[in-house]
Amino acid sequence: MPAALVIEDDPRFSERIVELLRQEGYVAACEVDGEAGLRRGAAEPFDLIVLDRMMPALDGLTVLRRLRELDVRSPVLVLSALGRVAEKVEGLESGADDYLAKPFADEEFIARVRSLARRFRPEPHPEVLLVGDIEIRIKARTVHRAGKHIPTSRKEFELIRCLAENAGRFLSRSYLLERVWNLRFDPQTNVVDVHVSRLRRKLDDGFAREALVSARGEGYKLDATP
Amino acid sequence: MSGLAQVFRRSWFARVVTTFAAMFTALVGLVLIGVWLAATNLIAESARQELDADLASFGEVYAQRLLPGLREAVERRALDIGDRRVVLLIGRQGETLAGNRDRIPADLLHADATPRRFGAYLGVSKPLLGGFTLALAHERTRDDILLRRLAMALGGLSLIAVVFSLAGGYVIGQTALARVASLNATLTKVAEGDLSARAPGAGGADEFSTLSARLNATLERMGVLVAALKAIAERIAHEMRSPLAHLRADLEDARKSAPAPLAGKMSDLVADVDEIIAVFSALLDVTLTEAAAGDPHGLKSVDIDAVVDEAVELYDAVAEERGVRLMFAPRGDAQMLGDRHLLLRMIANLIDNAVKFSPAGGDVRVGVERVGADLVIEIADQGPGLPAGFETRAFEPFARAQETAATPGHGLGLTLVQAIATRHGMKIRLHNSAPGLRVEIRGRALEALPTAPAA
Repeated sequence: MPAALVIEDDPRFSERIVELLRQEGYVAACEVDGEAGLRRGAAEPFDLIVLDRMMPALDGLTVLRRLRELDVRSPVLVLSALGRVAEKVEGLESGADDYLAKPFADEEFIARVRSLARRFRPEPHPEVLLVGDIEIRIKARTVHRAGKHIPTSRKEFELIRCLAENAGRFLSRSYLLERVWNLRFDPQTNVVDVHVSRLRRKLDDGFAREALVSARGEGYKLDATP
Repeated sequence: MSGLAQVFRRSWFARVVTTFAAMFTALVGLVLIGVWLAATNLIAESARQELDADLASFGEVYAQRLLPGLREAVERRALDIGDRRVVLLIGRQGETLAGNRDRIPADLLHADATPRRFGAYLGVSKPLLGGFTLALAHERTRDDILLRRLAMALGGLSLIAVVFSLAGGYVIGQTALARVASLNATLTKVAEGDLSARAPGAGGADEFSTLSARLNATLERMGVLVAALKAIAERIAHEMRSPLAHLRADLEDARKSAPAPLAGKMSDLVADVDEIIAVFSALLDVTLTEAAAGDPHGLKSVDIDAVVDEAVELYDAVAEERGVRLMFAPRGDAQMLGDRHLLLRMIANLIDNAVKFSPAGGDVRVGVERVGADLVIEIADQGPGLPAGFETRAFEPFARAQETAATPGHGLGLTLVQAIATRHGMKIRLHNSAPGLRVEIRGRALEALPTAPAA
């Protein structure tokens, strides 16, 4: 079973994260301040480190820099109430692999944990993604549904690829904006909705079952059930 | 001439130096005119006295030794004096008895016993007992040469005075100007957002040093306030976002086990919390972006065409859905120093507005143009434009025109756009171009490296 270290001073968050990680099959250890977290992270090997940015004793980014100096290469997901772009960039430059602003939806946390796990998995990335009757070829950048070719624009391909990698799970708008458009802010108009519905028209027209599902307050998902 | 007027209008020091030079020159001029008049008087007076004295001494000789004595004295004097003086003894029939002229010069025919000017001479003519006449005169050319020399000397002096006064004014002006310029440079940096800029020369005791010191103290205070603002904003971010995050998480948890009608209501509540967080984040973004204005940290060379292209790509689907044509032709070679994420957000916000307020079938044109050393990003729509008088308020937080109450948005979009522009030292202008609104953002272009060869 993979092991995770949660360094977070807020017990309610800590509890919630541990529970989410448990659902994802991790055994999670907790530390409540930066110093203890740094000692633990340096002493034991972890498959994932979830790190809060603002903490007593030693702040998250300092812990992160020290860990990287000690050649700890575990993927690190930084959590923070400071969700601003500049701070995200600063976090990523300090050696974080991903940065998630509080508050976040459970689904979004899980999507990021999975994405990190995929990136750090030793085996090569799959060339073909299969979700129900949808087939996505990564290198050729083609999408087929039940053998029928679905033409997609550059961003539409990135969108369906991101949804397929997290098939069966709802992905939030902000997660898609960050992953597909590399945007770290929410535009006023819901541009994601419009892009998704355009993709949905291409994907679901002529098929009885809706593959691309949206739910208010949750986001969008690619349904895996046939 | 208008160029000179321009200099005077724009430079206080040009006016001061010119006034100073003019006053000094006038003073020197007055003194020199006084000297000239005094010298002229002095020369004339001494000539008069000489003539009077000569007349008196010849009169005495005539009284004691009669005509032969006077004749001898005149002859002797005629040998002594140069060409420019006249001494003549004239007989009863007007014949010359003695002297250095053959006959009396025409100018002196009307001379009398008081030395006065007669044409080219200052002269005197005195009838003696027995019908003789004694004429004495100084040719004025002699005085004229003297006075001309004096005039040249005085003219030279005035010229030197003018040059000195201009040079003095220039030096004084330059010294003061340099100090004012350094204060101006400091304030320009501050206006561009560099709150760490300080005026030099605050250590001395003169007026300028005091001004520098006061300015620096003010800037110090401003820096403290901005830092405090930033600290409190971050504090609020931390203190408020955690409870909001808990609230959101708990609502989500509860929704999962809630019966269907309640679950729908709870989804609405989660969306409401998200809205609160969004407004809160936007306010925080505005504050922190403004506070970072002028700070070069985190700014890199950004390809503006690529950023605009990304923003356009983000909105193409929305525009298509609304029947709006969104057009952009990249111009190539449009580099700027900036934060890519912020610039993208600024342009996306403006395109968002343009598309939102465009009528179906309308055009939204986005352009990037090089104007001199600047890059101008322009976003023009064919919507209703801004209500009259709203242009100045459009950037205020939560300012929304009455007519747009039905359009979604929290009224912080343009405020953030303004903050991002300020962060990058860019200027935004809104033009109502009936129909539609044209937004113009102007910032300094980043020059391509001159070493790069044109392949």
